[in-house]
Amino acid sequence: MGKITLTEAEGLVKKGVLSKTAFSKMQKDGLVGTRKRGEKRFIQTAENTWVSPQFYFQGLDKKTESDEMKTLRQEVNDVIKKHTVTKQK
Amino acid sequence: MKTIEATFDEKRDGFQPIAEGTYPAHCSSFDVNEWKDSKIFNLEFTIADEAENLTVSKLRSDGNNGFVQEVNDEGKSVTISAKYMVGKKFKNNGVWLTPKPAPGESWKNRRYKEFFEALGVSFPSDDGRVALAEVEEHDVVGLPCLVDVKQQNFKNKDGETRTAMKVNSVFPWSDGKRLSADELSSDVPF
Repeated sequence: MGKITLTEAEGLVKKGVLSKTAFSKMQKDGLVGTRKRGEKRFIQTAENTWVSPQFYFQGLDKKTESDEMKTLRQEVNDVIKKHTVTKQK
Repeated sequence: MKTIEATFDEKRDGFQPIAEGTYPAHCSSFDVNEWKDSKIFNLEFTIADEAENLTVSKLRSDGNNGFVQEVNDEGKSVTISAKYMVGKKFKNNGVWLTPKPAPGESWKNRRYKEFFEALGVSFPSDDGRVALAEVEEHDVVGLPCLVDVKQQNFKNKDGETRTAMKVNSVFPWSDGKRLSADELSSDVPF
């Protein structure tokens, strides 16, 4: 099963759908993501369709990201931003 | 032409497509099909009244059979109330149960276990060994949960690509209340 994004879960709490207790339990059970997503980026294929690049650590499971991993993520995101758009442009 | 008071503004009054997201819902329908030695559980979920408090992205057509996020004059994403989602029904991707898995193939029932446990079904467990059981309609209809609704592409019998909004994942909604069959039915009782 997947996870609810942190932003979505916080939104459900803010709007009264989820109690803080239920939210905490979901976090504890690993059902809520730990990072907030940036704006989705897009790049065009040779056929002019839009695709979205993804970066993730395969096998991370419920382990915590190290500082080195966070740095890598930031640098990859910078490269992705350089080559992509938000599709609104 | 006679002048009337009605107006139409595509930005304000245009078709509002289903926005992907996580919504509170109740299991409202249950069906089981058999395939060889397996059973496939097809459930339907109805978005709960509580969703009206949520906000979702306002989408607009991208002119190429897709939708993109609507932005305002300042380039900021526009959101709208999710009230229009209340009462909408979505089916899940079938969940497979292999009642008699071959040795070493018990992993086939992982999704079945996780899916129904997230929905609130309890399977008896002894020292980490879960004894699975075949879920029946009365076990799940009316149960509250959070559903992750996502767009999925599929090919129809003519080989054409089509899209459908489906329940991709189910999560526990411990604050939700189970609904009775009467509460789930929207049929007028006469």
